[in-house]
Amino acid sequence: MYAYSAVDQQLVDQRVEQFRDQTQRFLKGEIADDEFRVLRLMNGVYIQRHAPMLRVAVPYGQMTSGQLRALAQISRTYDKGYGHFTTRQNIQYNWPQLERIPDILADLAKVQMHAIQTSGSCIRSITSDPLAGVSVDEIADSRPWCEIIRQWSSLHPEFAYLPRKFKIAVTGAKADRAAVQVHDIGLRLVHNDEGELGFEVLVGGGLGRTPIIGQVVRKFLPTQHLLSYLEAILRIYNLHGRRDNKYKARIKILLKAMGVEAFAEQVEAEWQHIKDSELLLPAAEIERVSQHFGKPDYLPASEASNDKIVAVVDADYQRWLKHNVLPHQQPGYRIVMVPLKNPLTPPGDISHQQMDGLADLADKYSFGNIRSTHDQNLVLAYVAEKDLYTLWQGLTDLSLARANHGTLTDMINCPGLDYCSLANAETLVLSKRINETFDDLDYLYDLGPIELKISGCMNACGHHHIGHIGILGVEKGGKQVYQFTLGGHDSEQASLGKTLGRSIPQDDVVATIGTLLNTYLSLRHDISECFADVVKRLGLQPFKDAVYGPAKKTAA
Amino acid sequence: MDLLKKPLPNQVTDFTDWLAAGAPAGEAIKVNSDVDMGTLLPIALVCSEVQVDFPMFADGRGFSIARLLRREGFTGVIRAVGDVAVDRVSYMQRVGFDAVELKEGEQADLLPQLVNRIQVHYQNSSDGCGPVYKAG
Repeated sequence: MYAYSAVDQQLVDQRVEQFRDQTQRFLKGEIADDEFRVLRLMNGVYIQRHAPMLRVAVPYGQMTSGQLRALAQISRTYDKGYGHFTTRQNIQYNWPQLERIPDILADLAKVQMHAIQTSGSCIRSITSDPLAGVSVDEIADSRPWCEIIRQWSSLHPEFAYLPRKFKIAVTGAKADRAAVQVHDIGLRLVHNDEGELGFEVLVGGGLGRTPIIGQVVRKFLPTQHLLSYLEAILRIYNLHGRRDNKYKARIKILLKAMGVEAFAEQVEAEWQHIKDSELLLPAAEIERVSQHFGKPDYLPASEASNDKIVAVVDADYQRWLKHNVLPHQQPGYRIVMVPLKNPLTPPGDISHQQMDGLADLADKYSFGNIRSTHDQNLVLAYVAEKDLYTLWQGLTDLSLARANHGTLTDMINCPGLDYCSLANAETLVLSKRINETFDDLDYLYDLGPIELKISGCMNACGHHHIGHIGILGVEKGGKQVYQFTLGGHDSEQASLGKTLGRSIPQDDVVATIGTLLNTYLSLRHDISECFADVVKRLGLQPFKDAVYGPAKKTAA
Repeated sequence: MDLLKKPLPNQVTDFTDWLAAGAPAGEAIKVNSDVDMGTLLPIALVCSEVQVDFPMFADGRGFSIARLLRREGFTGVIRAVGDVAVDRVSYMQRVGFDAVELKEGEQADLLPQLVNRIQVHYQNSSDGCGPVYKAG
């Protein structure tokens, strides 16, 4: 876990005072609305349907127990006692008062946190694989590189007024748990033929109105050139990205217009100017940052493991063990997924009691480390096998042991019309009904891993394009209706879902999901063929027939 | 505040007019944010001043234009004009602007305290700061 240097601390402290001054001048009428809008967005402050919303950065999803307790305390002091984890691994507060946001930021700075660039047309907070450093399929730990990018991108003077928001994701594993193919820049840690570590660089992925899978602009970038190459991409984008239409302003549109080869050539030409400048990362700096992400003091496998725990006769515990506990790269240890998918609250929500309780459990059983994931869950990444049963009991007491990880009800959901001023349709009512209808865990397990993703508008915060079943809420003639897309997924070879057909009224959405699931169950070879695989093999037609009735034969 | 003290040139020629006149040396020119950098960079060094227009504050191309001019070796004045507000000047200074013309209604007296509000930087930039890891 990265710990701030004196410089890091000074920067966030001074940033807080800068924003406090800007907020006070705005409240006195000395800064115009549209001018202040940009300043507050770069500090994570939106003005939403009911109140301001503050989005706090959880850089690449890493938190300490102390930070999680501070987040709980902030929710008690300034908000309604809960927070909402987002699809970009950050946490949002929905009810702070604008006047008090500088105080919240000051409280965050005390625990080495901030809300810098969690919003606005700038380089957003960096996202990554939540299992970095512990997964069994790791090539290299992505976290040092994420921290290096976090620092370079924070308050970058040249790239604060980009054509549009800019999102970077990094993964260091074989499986893609960071959705790098749908980011403005996706970085994959890879080895070249000589065994040297570097990055495969993807550019121009994204969801929103124009969903596109990112394209490779460079197959291998030596790690020491990371920042100069990123700077070259950003400079080309800042100068040439479209500014006349916000829906055409993302880098994916520029890449499409120029073509990937021409874009890569321009980046390469710019990069030649700066690759050996001060941006060349010194080995000592890479080493300094990497040292913060060393292995914790693991117990020897003989002490950490305990065969008897796995044999505990408790059906609930066994279910949890099977579905929420993943293998670990360290012998004797496991990774524990903590779904924030309580049937009674919106996906991603967590109460202050749960935050405090989870922080205590992390201290006892996971070296005080907690991670957030892009599917709105949390992770305890360093759990010794001998502690699993006790941890499960603790999580159960906190209502955080629902064994639905990876199942239908482990869905992604944006807040929708209930909170968001951009939304066209409600989404939380759907997740609530889905939870009520599909509450039989054995049925969910029989379905196997399935990704259901729901967005309340075209901006696609719920990532519906990459759901096996994606649902997009739209407004038509004053009514909320929902478009289904099928067959998307965000694995190593990501693909975008295809539209099923005409929109479905809100009251029929759950029944439609039921029809799709039954169709899938009747068509699949076995449980190893997931929903997206069946769509790939058979196309949409059987699903269309099931939902809309058999297609009419065209008259001869 | 030095950024406000650089005297305005007597005459400023629009970049396209200046080009049409054969790019005479020693003049002050004004470029739009969509200026073609491939055309500007090789010939701008002979100017005494380059004014970079910010048509609206959300248009951040001017930041890269100034940065590239300094990298090319331009040592004359680079002045930000147009939609320029006090809260953006610190970034402007860091990418190579050494003069600003604030838009109407801005509180110029705030500038000295605002540009130094944040005194540490992670990036190298045209103001001579190296990235943090190069310091000390």
